[in-house]
Amino acid sequence: MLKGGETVTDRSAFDAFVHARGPALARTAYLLTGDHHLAEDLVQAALVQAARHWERIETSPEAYVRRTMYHQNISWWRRRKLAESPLESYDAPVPEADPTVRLTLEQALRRLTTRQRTVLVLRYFEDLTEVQTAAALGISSGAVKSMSRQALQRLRVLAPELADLVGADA
Amino acid sequence: MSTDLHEELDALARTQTFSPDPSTWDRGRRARRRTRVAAGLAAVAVVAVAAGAGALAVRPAPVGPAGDVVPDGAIPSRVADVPDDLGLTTDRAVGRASVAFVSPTSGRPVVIGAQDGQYHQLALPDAPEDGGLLALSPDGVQLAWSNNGRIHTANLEDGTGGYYGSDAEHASVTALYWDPDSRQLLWNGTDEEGRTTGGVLPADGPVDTPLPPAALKGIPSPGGQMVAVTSDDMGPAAQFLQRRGTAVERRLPADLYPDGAAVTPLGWADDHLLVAEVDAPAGSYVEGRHLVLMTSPDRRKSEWTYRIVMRDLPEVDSLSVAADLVPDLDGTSSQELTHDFEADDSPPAPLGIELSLFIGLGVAAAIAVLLGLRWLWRRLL
Repeated sequence: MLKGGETVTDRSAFDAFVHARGPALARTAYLLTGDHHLAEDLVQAALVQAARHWERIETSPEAYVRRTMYHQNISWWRRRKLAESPLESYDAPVPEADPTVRLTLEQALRRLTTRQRTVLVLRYFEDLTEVQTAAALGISSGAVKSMSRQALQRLRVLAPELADLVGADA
Repeated sequence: MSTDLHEELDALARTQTFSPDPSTWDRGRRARRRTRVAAGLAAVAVVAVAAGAGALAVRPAPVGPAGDVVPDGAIPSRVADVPDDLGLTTDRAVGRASVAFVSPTSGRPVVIGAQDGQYHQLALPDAPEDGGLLALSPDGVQLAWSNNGRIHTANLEDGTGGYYGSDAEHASVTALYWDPDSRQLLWNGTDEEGRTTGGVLPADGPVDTPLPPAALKGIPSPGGQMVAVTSDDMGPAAQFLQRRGTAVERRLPADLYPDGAAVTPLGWADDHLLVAEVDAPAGSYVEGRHLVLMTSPDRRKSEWTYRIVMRDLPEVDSLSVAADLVPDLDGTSSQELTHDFEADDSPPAPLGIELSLFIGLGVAAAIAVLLGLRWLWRRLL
């Protein structure tokens, strides 16, 4: 028995969870933030919250951590948004000299709003349905649909060469 | 499309590495403990604020029976004659009274409100004068007065009244008392030929409890076992009669009254506790007229109590007290038996601090607590 009623079993379970699911969580975090350092911070912050509430969430910790990351990322974005680039620069297409599609996609993702990027990651990377995405973010399905459409449209504007990737009429 | 996008996103995501921080668990648990401490402190703060508010709401009055004015009212801690300019009240429905007397200044009957301590100088028809009598019932609701042989009653709650005209049996009235139930009026007097007489008037409906044979010689106790009798002369004891008229005494505390005192019974607070006016000569520990509570002699001496209820009674006539308003004794000498209505006008001063300052400090403390909680919340999340 450790301090505060926590047990060795709790810590072992937590460590096992982090070891097993940490890389996957970090990948999602990177797509959400578009920044490697921010992604590390986001995962760590969510894992600290998971440790804090472990007794309550130990049956499904991943869902809790992912949900925490989604909301924490949006919350951080709100705090940082004054320092971000002016909005009008988002509408300019990225230079055609981008070497690879991957880099172009990475740059284009960074130019989406945080909510658009989050919806895109949940829908097309986590493969959640509109209803599941709406539930995870605490918004309506209509809002998910609308944001998803706007995100794809923006990607096409920002990087026309991604048309094949995101669909011409999506 | 979505498959391609998924694959590209997956490939992009795989550029992120993950290195677990071994201190994550400990940081989370520390945050958990801090949250619990903060929640505990918040709960303590809430309880403290609630307890403070409760203490403020139910704080005992400076003086008062059972700590506060009971719903039925209380006897005031001080009685004074009325000022010259006090107006007359023509409406007899002034509400339950605690004390009644005839003012020597105005010659008019005065009652003191049981719930607010307000003085009402009553404009009564055929008011008592030149030795006329005034008697407030033990429950404080009925007022009786006599003028020569005429006896009147008034209900102070609804203003209704009764009248018993002078007749051959009561040509004059020399004593007027209410029975402990506040329903019968006991009177002594003389008939047309000057012979001593007395009787009972059912002033408030039919009577259930028969009075003891000696009832007309004083004020009978609620159980009818004792009758308290007026002692006109200074003496070492209060005078009582047993049910059938056998005289018994109840010694007054000799240390209080080394030269004795005169005792005028005013009513019974309970079956064995008499409310009386005592007039002690100069040199006594308690001089002059004062109100006392004393155990009747049918109780064992080991159970006797003697409490000074009110000192410095004014030189008023026909003083009577609603004995039912005396609170049940709790056995402590610190129990307040009267209420200081004048103190009610002063603003409350919780913890000895002026109320406005107290409220200001309370608001500042609440803001500080909220800011502290907000700071903790932001630190922990």
